[in-house]
Amino acid sequence: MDETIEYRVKQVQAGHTEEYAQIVQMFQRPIYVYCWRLLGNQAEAEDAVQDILVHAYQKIGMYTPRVSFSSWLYKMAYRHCLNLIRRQNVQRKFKQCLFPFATTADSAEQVMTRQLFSEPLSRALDQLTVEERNLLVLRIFEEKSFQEIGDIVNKSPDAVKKQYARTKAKLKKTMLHMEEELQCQNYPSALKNKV
Amino acid sequence: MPKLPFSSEEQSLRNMDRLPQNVLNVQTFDVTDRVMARIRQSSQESSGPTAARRLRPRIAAPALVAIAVLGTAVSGYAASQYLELRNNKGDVVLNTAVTSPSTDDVKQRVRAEEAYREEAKSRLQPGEYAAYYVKDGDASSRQIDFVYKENEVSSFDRLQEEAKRTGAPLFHAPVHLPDGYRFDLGYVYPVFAIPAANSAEYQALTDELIRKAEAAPEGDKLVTHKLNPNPSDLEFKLTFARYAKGTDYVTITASKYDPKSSSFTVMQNGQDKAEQLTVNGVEAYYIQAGEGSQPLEAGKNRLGWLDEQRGLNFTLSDNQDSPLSKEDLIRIAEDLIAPQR
Repeated sequence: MDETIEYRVKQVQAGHTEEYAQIVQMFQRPIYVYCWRLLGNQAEAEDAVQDILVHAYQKIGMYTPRVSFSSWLYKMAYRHCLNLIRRQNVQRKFKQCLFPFATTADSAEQVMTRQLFSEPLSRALDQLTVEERNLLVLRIFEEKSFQEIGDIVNKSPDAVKKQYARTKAKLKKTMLHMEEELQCQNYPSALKNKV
Repeated sequence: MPKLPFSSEEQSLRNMDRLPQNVLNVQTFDVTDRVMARIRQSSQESSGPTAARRLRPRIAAPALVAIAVLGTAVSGYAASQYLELRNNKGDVVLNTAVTSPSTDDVKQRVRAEEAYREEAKSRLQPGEYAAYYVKDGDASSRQIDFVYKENEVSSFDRLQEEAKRTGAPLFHAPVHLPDGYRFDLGYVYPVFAIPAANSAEYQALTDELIRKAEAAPEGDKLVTHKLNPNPSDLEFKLTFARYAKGTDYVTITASKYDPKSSSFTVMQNGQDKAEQLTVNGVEAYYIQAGEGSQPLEAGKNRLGWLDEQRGLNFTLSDNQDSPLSKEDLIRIAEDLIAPQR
């Protein structure tokens, strides 16, 4: 598989543009799912995949196989999603400053269908930074090794491993906290039922 | 079945993945056409790897050379794990890797491109080189290409003279050839500098060829423009010799490379057998085409090695239904490799 990819990459680097279609077919779905998980929005992920794959083509001449092509592409996807999320956060803050009483019109169902994780994981992931969320997505759902994750986020495997352990603990704490909050909210009705 | 050993905690997180409910959505997701359309559009604006390619000198490998070198690509790595040849420092300098066969669509396109290139070459005299353009109805492929007509010689002595005159790789004539095989043809081949894709020169050449193509009669798809390269732009980096007996042949290709910065990946089919050999003290690879495997534009047998002292990459190859054996190629290699102490 890897040799096939590297061969196709070399073909594209040598000017066989149409060979890139094969690379797109190999990676479009994994990158789509990855972006969907990171962005938490299916429609945005669809647009992101196209931008990432076009950008990767434009930069493919700079690719050298010091890391796998897959890691190189994931790195590009990660940076793209990171930029998108940061831009969205800035826009959100800007809107909140201008329109402090405006609320988003999305229903819970709409939000749910856009997400690729069920509750409570989805809400807990929202409490993490993009970097932390990325780490969990890559390790738990994309099943990447620490070496591969290191290649994607530009860190050593050991550093990634440590950060992953911290992030996992943070996620667990967040989820426990959310569970406790939920129990508190449900307590009056539970008490009522008991009575 | 997960690839990694997950803890129960991690597994419980994995259970909250809604991907299984969205499998159909993901399976039907396909943006290939949209991505490729955007890429073709951007290529038109001379960006991307095509532009980068144009900035570098290259070998426009002729068909005969392709037999020996198409499977050999220069790259800056040695990642794949079929065979590995190392230099005396222990660095991998050549490796073999498996490749999947091209799709029919790609094969068809490559065949069409090759036919146009041969036609463009047929319009040249030996030693001439030209830019050409094919009007194929695809408005997005406003790309020109370049072709060189090699000066074929019919004796090994003439080939050596040519190699000496041009500074192309030199090698001894093999004496242990298979029965009945005689020198058939040979040539030296240059790497020539071609104008950068974003240069005014390149743009003017493209415009002129497209103008010519539009003015050409209906059905005349190929237009060429001869170029007069500065002799200093031509660096002869490759020497090719072919020995034949009837329709069977064996070829020798020697090409220059930089041992300090180059490593090679030789492509093979999954069914091919690759073997590491030592010939006169030099590490070599041997690849035999697998039974029933789709040919990889290479012969039934391939044997190659690197001459690090002289910076030469040697490849021996034969035709796809060749009667030759591994031993036949080894005997030729022994004639070409000076015994190492």
